[in-house]
Amino acid sequence: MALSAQERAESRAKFVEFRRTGDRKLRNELIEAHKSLASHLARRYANRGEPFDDLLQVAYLGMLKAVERFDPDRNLEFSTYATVTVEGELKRHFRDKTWSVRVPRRPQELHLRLGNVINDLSQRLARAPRIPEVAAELGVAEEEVLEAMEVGGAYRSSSLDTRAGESNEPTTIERRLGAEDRGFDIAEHRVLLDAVLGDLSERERTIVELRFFQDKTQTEIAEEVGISQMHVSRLLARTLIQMRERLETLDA
Amino acid sequence: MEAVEPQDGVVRLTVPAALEYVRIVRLTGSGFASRLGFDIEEIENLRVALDELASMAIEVASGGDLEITFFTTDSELRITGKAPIADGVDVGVETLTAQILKAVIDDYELGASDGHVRFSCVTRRPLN
Repeated sequence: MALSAQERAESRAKFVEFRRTGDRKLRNELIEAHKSLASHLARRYANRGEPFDDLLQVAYLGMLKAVERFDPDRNLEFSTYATVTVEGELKRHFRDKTWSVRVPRRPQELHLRLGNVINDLSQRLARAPRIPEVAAELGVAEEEVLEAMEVGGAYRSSSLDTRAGESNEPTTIERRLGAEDRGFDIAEHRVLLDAVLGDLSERERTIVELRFFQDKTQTEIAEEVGISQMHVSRLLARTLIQMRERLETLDA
Repeated sequence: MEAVEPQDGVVRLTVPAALEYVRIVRLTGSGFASRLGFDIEEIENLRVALDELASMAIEVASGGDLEITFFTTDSELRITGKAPIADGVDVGVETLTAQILKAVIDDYELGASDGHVRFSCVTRRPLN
C-alpha cells in the first residue's frame, strides 16, 4: 500500500484534476487505485457476523465517498483521510445492521459478547482465559468484564431468600437442618434432593449432576453437553434458583 | 476459625447485611481474584461461593453490617465475613448449598460465635 514519491505525486495530480473537472473516469481510476486499502480495512471487520462481500461493498462505498470528498489542497495524506472515511462507513454499517461492533456501554450488551469471546480464547489458549485477556479481546476495561459477568446471574434470587417477616423462627430448610449438618449424611438428604432433581429437564439435571456431584468444570460440561461454557453458567444459575424454590415448597 | 496470617494487600469491605449488597461482595471478590491472576472459571467458582456464603450469613444476621476481608497467604485466597446475629439463631448449611460449595471452593466454614455469624471461604492455589 505504500506509494512511491512519484506515485504519490501522480495520485495527487489526479485528485487536483478530479476536483477541477469532476470527471467520473478519473474518479473511478482513483477508487480503483485504492481498492486494496478498502479491502484491507474491510478485512479488519471480518468474522463479526457479516458476510465479507457485504463488508467489501461497504468499504468500496466508503472509498467512493473519500475520493469524492478529499481535498488535495489540505495538507493531509489521502490514505489517512480514506481510512477514517471507510472505517466510519464500516462502523455505521455494523451499527445499522447489528450491534456487535458498537462498543457496548452497558454490561448487559457486553455479557452477550462475553460467551463467544471466552469460547474463542479457551480454544486458542487451551485453558480458561484470565480477565485481562478477555478484556483485551473485547477492547474494554477489566472492570467492565467483571461487571458483565455479574449479569450472568446471581445464584440466589434475593426475593426467594429474603426472610419472611420479622420472626426469629428459621424458615428456610437450611436453618432447620441446623449446624450439625456440616458433616451431613448425603444419603439421608439425597431423597429430598432427588425429588428436586426430578423436576428438572434432562439437560438441566445432567448439568447439575456433572457440576456438583461429579465435580466437572463448566468447560468440561460445556464440551460434554455440546453447549458453550457461558450457557452452562447461565443454566446452572437458573437451575439452582429453581431447585431452591422447589426445596422451599417441599419443606413447607 | 483457625488463625491464618494475612500477607500484604488485605482488602476490607463493609456493606449493610442485606441481600441486595451481595452483588457488591461478589464483584469485589472477583476483582480481587482477577488481580491474583485467577482465570475466568476460578472466578466464576468464587462468585458462586461468595454468593452462597454471604447470602446465608445475611439471612441469619440481625441487621447491622456484613464485614468482609479478602486476603492471601502463600498458598490460598481466603475470604472471611462476619455480621451480628441474635442469640440462639441456628446457623447451618443445607445439603444443596453444601454440595455447591464443595464443588466450587476448597474449604469453607459457617458458624456463629461471639454474637456474630462468621464464614470463611478458601481457595487453595500457589499465589506468590
